Amino acid sequence: MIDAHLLTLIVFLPILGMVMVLAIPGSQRQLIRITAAFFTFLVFVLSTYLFLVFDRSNVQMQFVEHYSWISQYNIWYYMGVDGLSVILIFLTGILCFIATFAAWNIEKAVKGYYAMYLLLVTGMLGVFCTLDFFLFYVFWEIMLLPMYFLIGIWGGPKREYAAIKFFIYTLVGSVLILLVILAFYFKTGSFDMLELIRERPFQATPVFEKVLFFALFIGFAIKIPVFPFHTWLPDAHVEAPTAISVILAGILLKMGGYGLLRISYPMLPGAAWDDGVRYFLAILGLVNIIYGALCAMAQTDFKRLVAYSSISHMGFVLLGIAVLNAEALNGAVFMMFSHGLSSAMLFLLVGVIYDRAHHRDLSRFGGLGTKMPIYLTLSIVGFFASLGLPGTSSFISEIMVFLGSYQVYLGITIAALLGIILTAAYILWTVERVYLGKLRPEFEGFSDCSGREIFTLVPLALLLILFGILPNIVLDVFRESMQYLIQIVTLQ
Amino acid sequence: MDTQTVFRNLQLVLPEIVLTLTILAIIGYDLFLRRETSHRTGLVALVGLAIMAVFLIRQGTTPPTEAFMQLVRVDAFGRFFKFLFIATTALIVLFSLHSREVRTYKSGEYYAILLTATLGMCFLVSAINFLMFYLAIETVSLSSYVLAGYLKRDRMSSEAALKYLLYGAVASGVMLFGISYLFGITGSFSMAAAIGGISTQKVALVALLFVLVGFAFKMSLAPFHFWVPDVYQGAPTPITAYLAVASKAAGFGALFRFLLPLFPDVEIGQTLQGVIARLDVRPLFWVLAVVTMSVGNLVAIRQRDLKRLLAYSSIAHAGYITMGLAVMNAKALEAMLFYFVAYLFMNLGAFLVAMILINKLGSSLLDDCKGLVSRLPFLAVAMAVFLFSLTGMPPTVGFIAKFNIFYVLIAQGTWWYYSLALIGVGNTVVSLYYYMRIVNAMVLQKADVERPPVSWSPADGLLLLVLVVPTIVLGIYWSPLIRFVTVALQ
Repeated sequence: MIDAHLLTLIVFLPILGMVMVLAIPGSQRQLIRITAAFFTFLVFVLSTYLFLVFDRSNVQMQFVEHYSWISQYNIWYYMGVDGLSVILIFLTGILCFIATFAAWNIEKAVKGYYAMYLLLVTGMLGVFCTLDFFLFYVFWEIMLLPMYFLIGIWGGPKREYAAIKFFIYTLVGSVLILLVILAFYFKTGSFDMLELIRERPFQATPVFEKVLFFALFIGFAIKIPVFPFHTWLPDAHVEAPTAISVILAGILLKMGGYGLLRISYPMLPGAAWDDGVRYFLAILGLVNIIYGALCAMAQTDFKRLVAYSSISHMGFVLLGIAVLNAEALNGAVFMMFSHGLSSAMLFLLVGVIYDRAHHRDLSRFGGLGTKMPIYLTLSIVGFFASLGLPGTSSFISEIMVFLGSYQVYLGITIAALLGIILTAAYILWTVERVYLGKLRPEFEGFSDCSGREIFTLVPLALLLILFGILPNIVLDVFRESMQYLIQIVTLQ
Repeated sequence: MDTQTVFRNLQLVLPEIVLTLTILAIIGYDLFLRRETSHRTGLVALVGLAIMAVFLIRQGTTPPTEAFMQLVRVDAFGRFFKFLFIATTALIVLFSLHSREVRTYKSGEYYAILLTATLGMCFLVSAINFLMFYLAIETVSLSSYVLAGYLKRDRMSSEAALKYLLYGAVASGVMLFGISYLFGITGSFSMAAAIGGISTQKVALVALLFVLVGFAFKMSLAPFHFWVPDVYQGAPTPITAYLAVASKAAGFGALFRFLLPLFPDVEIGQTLQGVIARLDVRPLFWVLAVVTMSVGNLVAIRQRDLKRLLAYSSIAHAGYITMGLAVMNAKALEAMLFYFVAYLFMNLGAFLVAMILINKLGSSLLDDCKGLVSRLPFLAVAMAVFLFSLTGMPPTVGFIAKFNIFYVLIAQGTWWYYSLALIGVGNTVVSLYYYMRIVNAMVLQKADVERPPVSWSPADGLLLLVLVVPTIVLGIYWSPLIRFVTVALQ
């Protein structure tokens, strides 16, 4: 019974939560928080259930729901998941639950915050679940609105600028996506993604196919974000409250990669498998890796540094997707997953220190390790996971991307390895500047992590190590789906 | 015409007769009864509009007929617009009853003039003869001039009326000049004959351009839009909303009626298949659409007054709709009609918010809206919904409307139309910026100075709900709206 409507349940439970939150009087802050936590917990449980019962050997869409919505336009309420969606839904379930607690200390308009937050959760889950192009766009945009308010109302001092910049950048991307959706619809009269994948409507017109591919690519590149469309990200991250940074880095950045793998590549395989296009994307990935790492090294703001490190890591994802062989692609998707965990953890760690020091200036930290041992321990796990130390899931994913790309683009692979060194450099330097050295006198009164902070950080640390030792728990979920994707794209 | 024909013809305009009787009833009520509570005339107007709607629905079964010696054509296409006018006028009457600006004046004649304008619009969209057309458009214009200047003690309002009158007189003069040319060429006032004449004689193209000036003025297309910001800002807010929605729809409706023979796959009235190849006006509308939406959107960025900003935004929306005219086929017509319904809800909603603001704060400056969310939360949320819809974000009806327009552009499949779609998309992004400036002021910013809380009446909330609910619901399930629109094209 529950299986037949599992996806609907997962996607729309947060909306129900939003209605409940709105019904509670604004003065009952604790009750609102608990309600939000309850609903995100339900989403977490259901997404874990989905993760466990998903049939890993089956490459077809599972848990399909298919109902007519607007018959005149041939629009369907069409939901279904494959391995790629399942791990991203699982990731969303984990991070949304954790981020609910990360926002526990927000006192400003709590009701509005959690209402917007739950709407955002629905938007994100909807994007990963839907198989109807029109519905996909609706969810894609629904994600945008609450994000604008969450950054704009609950953000830092320059929040208005950051919010509108985020909104305009993403809207430029989404209207391009919309034009491509219309082009597909005009050609086939259908919004059915699976049908579009089967039909490859633009295979006969390779030039036009490339135009569409790049229009879509810009749309998704803004989300990933790919250099030179990345400039909204540091601003948005710096201004956003901690919990929203977690969602932004952990899930929203994965939308771009998801879009490429779900839409661009299988629907426009001619352009995706074109040697020039692949090389171009691989170069862009490399630029992201190096440029992101160099920028991260130059930052004095802790959060900006983490934001640039995200850009660098997303370069690996793009490189893996561009290479498109089994190792690289699985590595890229695994990277999306493990970066979701590790970047979320880094933003939470920054949040911990910001709540105490009320600034994020790296040059004014130092010696925190002696005062806050638990915080130090968790930070070391988080930073080393981000660095790609063996034993953490990031290591597995980076190694897989390199194994794949080595076979195809030797030069780019070697250059990308330089990125690893740069990453190690800025992370170790950060650790040194923040945690090591002599304790500064103004940090004398700092308390170690509170119970709530430990509760948000420890699960992420454990998962990062668990998936670093037993990566197959996750890899098995999407391995077959990715194999199938490669088949589709390379079949010319 | 024998008596029998006259009666048969009169039956066809029964809804308009009801409207005329309502106008007379309002004047009578105002003259002879209860002068001190003249606002009750608004209720009379509402009752009259309701009866008119009933007659209009009953008319739904009659086949398309031309009446009064080919002066007007009574058909589903005209009925679509008449329903639109009734809905808009009824809402405007409700707004006016609730508007502090309007209520400070004795308002018996106000509702009579408002309904007269509506009567003119009803004939405007049914006219198939230039004589009838000109009478109708002047009825609309003259009533609108009076309404724009209705706030007699307000200098802005008087200025608005004067500017509107001057621009309007010039535009209608130019149009009349064009009509006289067309009459000279074809020897007839029939619109279909005029289109036929234009296609055979190149000189008549000049006449067509003159006539289009009159339309463009009503539709507020650039470069004939200069009256819009001043008039929209100065006029009483309900009238601004009325001009932005009903008057504009009437201009478009009349233009559609005039150009229908040029829509290759639409069979309403006469189709002139042979003419289309020789007379292609689509490039003209391509240019008008680009200029209009770009001017509207770019100038709107710098506005500081909500009403003036919405004036430029409504110019931009006229540009979006005109993109459909650059395509000119049945699908495009459907998309444009759909857009009008969406536009009705979201634009009236935005103006309603402006009106409530003026009621409560006495100003519609963006600076005065700062931090409004803490004082009037529902108002700010409703405004956000309307603005998202005007931008074209799902899940609102504005998205579906824009989606339809862009679809017909893409469906043309040539680079001219791809580039038009790209320009339209670029404009959408620009429009997001200034719409978000309003949301930014209302929701994200804090008030500069501590302001007293404002009272909130249930009537405010109810009126807002009437517009917010369809804006969202029709964005999620719009099948009924498609049916409503397709009926108009049968």
